[in-house]
Parts: sequence; C-alpha cells; structure tokens
Amino acid sequence: MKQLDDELRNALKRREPPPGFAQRVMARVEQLAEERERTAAKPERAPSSGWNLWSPWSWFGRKVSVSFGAVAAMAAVVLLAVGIAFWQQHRIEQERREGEAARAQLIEALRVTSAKLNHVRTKVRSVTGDGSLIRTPGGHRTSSEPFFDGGDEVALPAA
Amino acid sequence: MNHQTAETQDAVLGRAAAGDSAAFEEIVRAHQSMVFSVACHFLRDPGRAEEIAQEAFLRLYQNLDRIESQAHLVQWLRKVTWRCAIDELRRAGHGKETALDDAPDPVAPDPPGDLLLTDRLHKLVASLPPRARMMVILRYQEDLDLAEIAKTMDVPLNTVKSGLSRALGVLRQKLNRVLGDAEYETA
Repeated sequence: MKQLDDELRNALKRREPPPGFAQRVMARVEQLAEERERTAAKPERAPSSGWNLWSPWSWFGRKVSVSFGAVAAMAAVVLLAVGIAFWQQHRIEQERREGEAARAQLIEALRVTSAKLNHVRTKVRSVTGDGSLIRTPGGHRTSSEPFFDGGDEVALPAA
Repeated sequence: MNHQTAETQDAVLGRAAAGDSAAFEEIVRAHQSMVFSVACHFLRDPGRAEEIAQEAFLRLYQNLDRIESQAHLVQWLRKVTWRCAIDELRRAGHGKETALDDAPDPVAPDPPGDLLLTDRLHKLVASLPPRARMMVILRYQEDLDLAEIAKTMDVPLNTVKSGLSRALGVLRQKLNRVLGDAEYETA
C-alpha cells in the first residue's frame, strides 16, 4: 500500500531555477538602486524671493503644496461670493428706492385729490348757500351733495 | 539549521539591510530554489515562475529593513511568493476559485507506471483550485505544519485543516481513478 504523502513529497521536491537566475535578480536590484539614487539626488527647488504660490506652504509646521487648479478654484469661489453679495445689496437698495418713489406718488395723488374735493365742496356750498342736501325725486343723491359731513378739509398724511 | 548557521545568516541579513549587495546576492542564492519551486509548482510554467521569483526578491530588497530574522525572512518570502503567484494567476484570468470536486481530471491519461507518477501528480496538483494547490505545495514541498501554512496564506487554521484534507481526498480519489488498481492513502 503506497503512501500518497510520500509520493507528493517526491513529486513536489524543490527544484533549482534556470542558470543565471541570481545574476538576473541582482541586475534588476542594481537597476532599482540606481533609480532610487536618481530620485534621491534630484536637486531641490531654489527658494524663491517673495511669495511663491506653487512652492510648498508651511501651515502649522506642515508642508502643504498648493496646485494651480486649487488656487484658481478658491479664487473663483471668492469672486462668486463677493459678486452675489454686491448683487443682493444692489437689489435691496433698488427696492427701497422704488418703494419711496411709490409712497411719494401716492401722497401727491392724495394731495391733488384733496385739493380737488375741497374745491368742489366750496363750489357746492356757494350754490346751495347753507350746504343742505338736494335730493332727486327718486331719492338719489345729486352732485351737489357734500362729500364730507363735517365740512372740514381732508387731513393729509405727513409727506 | 544550527545556532551558528542562523547567527551567520542573521549577520548576512544585517549586511544586506545595510546596503551590501554581495550579502543580498547570498540571500538570493540561499532561497532561490524555495521561491522558484513554490511558484513553479503553483503555476506549472517555469518562465512565469521565474518572473514571480524575481518579483519576490525585488520586494524583499525593498523591504529588507523590515525583516527581523532569518526565520522571518523565510516566512516573508513564502508569503510574498504566494501573493505574487495568486496575483499572476488572476492577471492571466485563471484565478477563479472552483470547487475541489469540480476540478478537471488531467487530460490524456498515460499508462500507469512509477516513472510517470511524478508527472501525473504534478498535473493532479495543478488541477486543484489555487488555494488548495498552495496548501498542498506548502505542506509537501516546504514541509510546513498546518499552523505555518495558515500564517503564510493568511487564512484561519481550520480553513487549512479542512482545505488540505479535502484536497488530499480529491487527489487520492483521482489518482486511484487514473491508476486503476493502486490504493493510495495519506498518513
């Protein structure tokens, strides 16, 4: 009775790699080491005079590099916010001015109406003498009927 | 490996970590057959196996400062070889896990005989799903116990126990089927 374990051990014995394997590994290792050295030997950027946006910033002791895209996006957001604030302020101011103009127009209209009414009342009084009511046979009020019982002028709101 | 040898090898490891390329080459030569054999038995393709073995040693070169001892080095190399091999299998599109029972029998059976048995076993092992295949390779090529296999492959011990047991069952069954009258048992 054969043992599968022994057969497997025999079949799965270690085998040597093709000749020159270690040299090929070492060649790749040397290539890797050269690449590392090249990367390490890259000269650092000379410090610029003044404020350079693209050089790493130091915020709270940490180096932070800022890309052109990020700066452009931040600038766009700030400009947009300022623009919206100005537009909003302009709109509020315009609405206030329109409201004041409408109020002035209304006061003027009331003043004119009041003057006309007073004029009409004066006329009516001069026709009827005592200002008594003149009624038609149907009981309708005529144009000579006074509009204001008290006979006083219409009080106008302060301008 | 006696104490003296281990001490010497640890010294070589230290020199390699300090940048001594001759020491690193010594490490490559000492472990090349282990790394190459694991990859070769797993992939059944010496060309791809050499690629995997080279990749494993390159990764070792890049991580030499993390290696603590000779034993750690050997275990690290086995683990990286397994990972590189399974990645290679996935890249090639053959890494799908299949059920052990669904693993195909080797094609074109040869007449039975001791001379052909090794080749027959290679083919049977190669027909196993990747994880079961690596368990068998680590068990019988590297003579690892179950706990070491579990550690190398990053799987639970019970997974190794059941996986290896099933893989051996399937291998025995298929070998008996192919060879006819011979009865194979595992220890």
